[in-house]
Amino acid sequence: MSVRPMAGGFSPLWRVWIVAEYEIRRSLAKKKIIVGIILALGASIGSGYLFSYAISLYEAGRLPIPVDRSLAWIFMFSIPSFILASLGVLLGGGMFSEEYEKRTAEILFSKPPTRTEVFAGKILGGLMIYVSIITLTLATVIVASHIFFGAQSMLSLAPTVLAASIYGNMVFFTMALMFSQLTRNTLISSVVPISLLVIMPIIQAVIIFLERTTGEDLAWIARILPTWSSDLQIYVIPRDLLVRSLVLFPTTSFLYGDPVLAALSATGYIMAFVSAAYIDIALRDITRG
Amino acid sequence: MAEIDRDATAPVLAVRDLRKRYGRIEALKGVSLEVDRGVLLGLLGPNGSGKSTLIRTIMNLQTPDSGYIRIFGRDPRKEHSTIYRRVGYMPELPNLPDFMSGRQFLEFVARVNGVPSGEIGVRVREMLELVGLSEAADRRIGKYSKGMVQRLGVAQALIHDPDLVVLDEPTLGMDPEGRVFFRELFRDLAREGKTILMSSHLLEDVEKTASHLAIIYRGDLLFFGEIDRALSLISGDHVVRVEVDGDPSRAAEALRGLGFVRDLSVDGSWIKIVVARDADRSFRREISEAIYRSGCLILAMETATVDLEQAYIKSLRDRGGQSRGPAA
Repeated sequence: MSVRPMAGGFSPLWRVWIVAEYEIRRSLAKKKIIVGIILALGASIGSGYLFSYAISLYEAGRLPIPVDRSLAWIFMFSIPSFILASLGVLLGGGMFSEEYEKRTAEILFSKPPTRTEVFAGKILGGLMIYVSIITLTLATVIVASHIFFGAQSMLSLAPTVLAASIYGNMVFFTMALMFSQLTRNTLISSVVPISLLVIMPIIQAVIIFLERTTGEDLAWIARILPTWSSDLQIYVIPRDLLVRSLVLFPTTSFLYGDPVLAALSATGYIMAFVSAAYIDIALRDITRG
Repeated sequence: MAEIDRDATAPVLAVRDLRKRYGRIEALKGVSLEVDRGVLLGLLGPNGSGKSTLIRTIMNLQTPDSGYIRIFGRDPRKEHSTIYRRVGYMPELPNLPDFMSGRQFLEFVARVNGVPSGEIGVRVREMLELVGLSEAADRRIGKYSKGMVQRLGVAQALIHDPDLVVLDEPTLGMDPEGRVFFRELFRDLAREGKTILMSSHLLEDVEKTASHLAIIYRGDLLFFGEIDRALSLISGDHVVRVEVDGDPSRAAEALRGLGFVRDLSVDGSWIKIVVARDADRSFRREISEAIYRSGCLILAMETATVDLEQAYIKSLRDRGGQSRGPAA
């Protein structure tokens, strides 16, 4: 009943991959993730349908707004942005805390993968799902926009928009996973980032309002908030296209910014959140629950 | 080559002066022990004694405040993957991923332990059969009973054929038939040359399984050695408390001469006598006669069989109990 050592070694990358597979399976077994995916896709398709209906009314002379139908995909992809960000929070927020809450951490961390490998594997698995969800949402949006609005233009921008959306959303994904490890409590690690997702755009709007009414330069305050960098996908789209695509801007897009700066800001947040989580997982005891 | 030599000569598990504190509570107070190949070490102690802390520190889930652990002569903190690939672990009342079926979970554990992909299917089937879960293999773990989860916990600890198996209360919650089966399984594994560290708060479990015993209490290792020596010291004693009229020290002197008296203490007019479990049923009469011969009268006599769990702690502590030494 003996088992020979694995041919070709037992590399750290292989162990990271096995943990990533485990994380994918774990995440996809959660109903809230499945519901989130359905909501993201439903919001994209539903908004497209509603707007195509609204535009048909406009053509009848009741909705006097100029519309570039060929850019509908940009508008439609902005609709589920909050749902996508929340999905990132749900994926990251349960990543570590659920292992402690369900008392499965003991099993996971007593196996050959090191803590670093478990950490990397879980993030890789979570990211693979998240990237797939965002990609699927954009693909659905493009197909639906073709159906509802006819041929689409500027699709060459789609890969850039996709990459920017993924990278921007990683800010709150990593924030949630940091809270997940630090607090080992799924409720806190989900509610705190989602609350920030809701509150920060309001703060940004107030700041912009104050800037416009007082004439003082206050926009920098809004730009250091994580919600500004997480809106990276908006900044990679030329401004005139945004206007033409009839995007109902999220509040933050009033702070239309330099995509490079936004990417740098996002990088700073992502690195800080991941580092804090890593230090904690590397140094702290694995408790029973 | 040097590493192989180190592996071959070193004890499978060596713990030296291990200390761990949780705030004000000192969970481990300098525990040291060495376990060789083929030893089935029963780690005995009441709940909260430090057994799980010791096990979790051995499994690198917790960092000791001081002291060190060597497994196969290596430092698990520096060579985690190499070492824990050869270790199987089952936590106390394990919670296993409820989103997987039993089969999927065992496949995952086999893969993560580096079992060759061509052997995983066979190995999983063998393990499921061994623990009696073949029919429930494709059911989600979330639908398993506690006993089934416990069985799967044992299977996942053994699936990669580890050299060291660490089991934290492995038979807890199992039906009597299952407990007997797993005790026999663990004994067989030790006979094959595997080293097993098995914690329990039940003396019976350890008594019927282990070749060696470590008793831990409030973070202290009270006893470490062969099971036969331990059992001769601790198991199933009777305690007789006698109140005498006269000089209790003379009565005590007379009682010490009785072969079945294992321990004795005097508290005022009361004498506490620990009687070996294998003493003849007439020990009460012999005690009465010895006291009478010493010139004392018996005012009262109480007899009780000591609870096994308390017996090993009390008797060892009463003895000054520090009996330490490497397992043979």
